[in-house]
Amino acid sequence: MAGDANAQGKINADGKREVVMIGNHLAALAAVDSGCKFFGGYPITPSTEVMEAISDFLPRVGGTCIQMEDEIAGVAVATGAAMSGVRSMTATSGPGISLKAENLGLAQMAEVPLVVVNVMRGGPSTGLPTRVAQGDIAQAKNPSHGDYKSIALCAGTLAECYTETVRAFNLADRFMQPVFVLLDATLGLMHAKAILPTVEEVEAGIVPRKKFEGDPADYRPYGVEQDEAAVLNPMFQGYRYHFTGLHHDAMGFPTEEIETCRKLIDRLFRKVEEHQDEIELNEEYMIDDADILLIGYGSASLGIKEAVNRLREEGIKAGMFRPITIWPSPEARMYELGQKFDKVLSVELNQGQYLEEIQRCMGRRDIQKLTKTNGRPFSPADIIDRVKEVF
Amino acid sequence: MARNVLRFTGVGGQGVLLAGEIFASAKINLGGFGVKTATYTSQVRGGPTVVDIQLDDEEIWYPHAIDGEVDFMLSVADASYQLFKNGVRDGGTIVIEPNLVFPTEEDRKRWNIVEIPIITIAKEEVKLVLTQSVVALAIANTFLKLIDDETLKNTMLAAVPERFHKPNLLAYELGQKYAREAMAASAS
Repeated sequence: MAGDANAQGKINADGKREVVMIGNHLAALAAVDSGCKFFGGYPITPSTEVMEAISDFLPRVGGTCIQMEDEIAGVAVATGAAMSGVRSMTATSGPGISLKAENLGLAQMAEVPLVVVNVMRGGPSTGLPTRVAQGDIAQAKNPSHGDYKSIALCAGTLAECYTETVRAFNLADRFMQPVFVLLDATLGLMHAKAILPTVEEVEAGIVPRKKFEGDPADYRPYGVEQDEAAVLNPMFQGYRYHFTGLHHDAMGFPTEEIETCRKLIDRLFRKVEEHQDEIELNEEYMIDDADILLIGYGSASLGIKEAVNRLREEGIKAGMFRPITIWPSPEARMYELGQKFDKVLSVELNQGQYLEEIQRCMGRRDIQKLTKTNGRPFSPADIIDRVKEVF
Repeated sequence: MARNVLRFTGVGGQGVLLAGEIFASAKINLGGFGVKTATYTSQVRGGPTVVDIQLDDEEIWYPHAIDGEVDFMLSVADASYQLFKNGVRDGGTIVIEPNLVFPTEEDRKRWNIVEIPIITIAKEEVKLVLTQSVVALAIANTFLKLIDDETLKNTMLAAVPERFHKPNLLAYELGQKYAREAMAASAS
């Protein structure tokens, strides 16, 4: 935990921290190192260890962790804490996101920065609580009704359970909206070594949330450029504005004025779309000389990497493309890869939720797929067999 | 070293998860790579549980043991033994608690099945049933000689509260003793 030697880790020869932890604890550690001061949530398998760890970490740094009566209250208090100006987080699994959806929509509309960790398990409904799945990819794009542009980061290694949570806090403050960190039952609960940046490096990367410091009479939180996020000062510090889920004007007051409504939703999209270069992150593994491109993300990519290595031992040149930022998707890069590779296989632990996005980005329908929805991970052999079957 | 793949199985609450973590951590403390993954059912306490442990000097990507590549399995519950035994490679070693696990004759031909009363040792000799996971840890390491005993013991002690150090050290020593006796018996 935060106070013990393991959480601080040891510094290796490259000046990085080495810790031995499960992914869920790493997400909690990342939150605290990123300056998170509030966690509100409700325990649910397989995410409970995030709350377990952060309930130990936060009081040590003057923060607060509260277990609420249900998932809805968990995200509600986390949203409230964020409005008071602090970095705030909640964590859950897919069924919890379903329950939190209404408040996540409010946070999108009112532009409240919040980190939401989803440790994915089998669904729909209560599904397979202790088993792995990647069935919440579509949900992360649109958990709530209405139009907005989600940001969702998907960790694919233990270290990324940490680094993507750090990045989520920075993106939430930059774009003033909820940011999802997608883990899954495999990553969240696997226990191994992770090599992390030092706390000093994490702190150096923090850009404080924008704040209006002029005359309070001139404060217009939503009166910003069309490609920029709202500037929400902490509540109750002299800068007053109206907070609502209704369409609103520059002061936050409800309105049905035609142009204001159009511009508001347009801005929720453009603030993300026009700054995708600040958000996008991918991994490309052995694709330079590859003939076959495997696309996967999250813990499925661990099996893919092992499969790529084993296929290459047999003389089959495979490579992997892994979106780490799942939403917005790496549209331009996937289009380029679709032009370069004839043989493309999408591998995901769902029925093909991201396959449709890959098809759209590549402008092709002939992408092969390997899917699984029985709560079991892909073994490298599953992937190797499928590659040999379809190519 | 080549990759070593171990599997501990039992029912939830028996402590097999912790034993797996200790193994992986000890390997990492020595500068190598160790990964532990656990699979359990919704009924965490009482449901079949499996912990896969992979140890290697090279980085390990896929975190689960691949069926057919498990070198060594230890099982203290029949339900999980039956569910997970087929992951063990032919000729691999399976240590079982003979009071609770019942292999078939075919199983005994296919694998090197070793009977050690792990839970009885913890309950009657250490007088603390919770230490069964440390008895198991010592047995596995004695069979496989993967990690030097001092490192493994120190990693184990760091994972348990100080007031339980003494019984856990006793559990480790007894695990070593019974494993050596079993190895000598099967060699003779």
